[in-house]
Amino acid sequence: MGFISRGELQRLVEPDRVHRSVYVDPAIFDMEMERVFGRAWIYVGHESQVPKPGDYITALIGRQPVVMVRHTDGAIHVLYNRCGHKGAVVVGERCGNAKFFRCCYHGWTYKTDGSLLGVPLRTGYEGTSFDTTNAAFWMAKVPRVQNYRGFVFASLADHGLDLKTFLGTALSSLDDMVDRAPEGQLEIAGGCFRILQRSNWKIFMENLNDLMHPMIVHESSVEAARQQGREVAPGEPQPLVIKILAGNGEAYSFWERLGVTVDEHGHSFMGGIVSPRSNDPVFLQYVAAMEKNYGKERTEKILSVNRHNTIFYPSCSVQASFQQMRVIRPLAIDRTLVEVWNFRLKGAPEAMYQKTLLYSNVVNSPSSIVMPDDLEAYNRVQVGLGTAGSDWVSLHRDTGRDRPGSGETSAIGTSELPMRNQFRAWLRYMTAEA
Amino acid sequence: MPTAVKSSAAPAQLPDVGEIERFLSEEARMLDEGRYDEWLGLFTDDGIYWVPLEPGQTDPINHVSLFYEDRLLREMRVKRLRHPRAFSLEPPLRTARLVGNVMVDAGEGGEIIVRSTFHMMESRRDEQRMFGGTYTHRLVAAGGGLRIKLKRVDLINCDAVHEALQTFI
Repeated sequence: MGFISRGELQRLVEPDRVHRSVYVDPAIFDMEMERVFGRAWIYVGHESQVPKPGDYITALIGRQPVVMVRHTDGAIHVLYNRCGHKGAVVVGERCGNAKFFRCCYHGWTYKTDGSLLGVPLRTGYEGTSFDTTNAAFWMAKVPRVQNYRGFVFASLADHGLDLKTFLGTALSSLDDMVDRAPEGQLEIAGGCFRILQRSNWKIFMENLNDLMHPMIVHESSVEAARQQGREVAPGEPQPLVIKILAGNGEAYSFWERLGVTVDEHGHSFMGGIVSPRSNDPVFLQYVAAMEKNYGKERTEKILSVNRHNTIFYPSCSVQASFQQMRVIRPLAIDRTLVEVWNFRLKGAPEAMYQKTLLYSNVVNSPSSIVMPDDLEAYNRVQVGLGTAGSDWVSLHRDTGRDRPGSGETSAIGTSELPMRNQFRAWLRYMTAEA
Repeated sequence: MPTAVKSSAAPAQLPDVGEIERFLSEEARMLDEGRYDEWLGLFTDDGIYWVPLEPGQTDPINHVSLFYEDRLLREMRVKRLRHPRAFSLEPPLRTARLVGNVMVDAGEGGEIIVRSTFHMMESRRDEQRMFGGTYTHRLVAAGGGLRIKLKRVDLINCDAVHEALQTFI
């Protein structure tokens, strides 16, 4: 693995521009896997994916394959997906239920807390240091796991900030996700899109709160939606999908007003583009369910929040108004896997959940008429940054016009503050001593 | 040409398998040649184009799909495919598809159920991708021809990691 000195790293990130090598140098990627994804709190999965003892999912934390599993005592463990014997990946499925895990190679078995259940043919280990009670022979637990209202994060570092402190201001966006459920609980449902991006993970991370791109990159889908909208019979309401897709074509002044807010660990959120609030019978039924459980005042407070993407740097983003979550799993310097998950609001009408899935289908799927143009732009950036045309990427927009708050900082929506802020956090991770 | 196997229970009014094969070939050609208006016209007003995300998926409403498109969404996709600033179609992609193993059965209410296997090659820039799977068409006789009530495409890699999927499969 290549090593880049602290001084060299510091020269790659300036207040308003970054060096192209952060996107194209494989040695940087190696260091990121250790220093960013090896230190930060990384989203693993949601507790609703493992409701019963033995339920598990597999995931990646940086380069580490892990298993998130519900143990017999109800606790959720995150284990390295690695046999304590020869190191083979133990769990091969993306999800399932197991009484115990069994390695395919020599048949070592593990309880769902990672401890060694047994090995075949116990004779042969007498007089050796092999010991089933020694955790060195188990599926190891990752150092830290914390569950915030159902969202399970893990950190490969054995010390550091607790999850709540790490999430800071962005924590309120997880609350926004959960509070919208009349029963105060979410459930992952309806399947997961997995998208391969031929670009560096940071390009997607930057794009999530980049409010200068929608009207340009998405011109073709905006225009398609507008043209389709003009064919709707006069007097008929515009279908929700048209409103959603045409939303990307709003004027710059609209995006400026949405605003962006950042805090110190690289997280950020932007204002909402399309409000899910309406007077249709489904939404009114939903509001009634909310008011029954929370009362009028609290319901109004919850529903008056309208945010589009919130980024939990460096591993995921949520969009609470349509219950979407995207999880970023970097694969290589120029390859990124993005998972698109959907949540059901417990206690809400099923039609609300169906709108969530509709949103996912028409906006976030690899087959939507929106996503391909994003993927094209990301790839062009990746290819372009490999050239020697210039060494620098500009993040100048609205530098010096940030509005400091109490802990968080905000700016007009078209500011490149979220990107500058991500790189401040990135540099801290990359240059901090372990 | 593939061998057609008719269900023994098929009523006499089922179209000849040759007619169905011509229909499928013509449909494939419309898509390969970008004759989208003609292709849109093949569907009934309530017709659906569906590409499930999971093998054997039964529910398109409570589960996400790669495509689950009614008339409005199909028309909107065509408008986008034709837009000069669809950057991911710069240069445009080309497709060629082969449809075979056609089987024709009677469905409920006079519907004709057609199952077939397809390969689709897709080329863009210097890259070529291959898609394969099965088509299930639910057809009805209307206006002197056949119309599509449902076109279901089961990709053999439907639940895999995907890059952009832009055109109808």
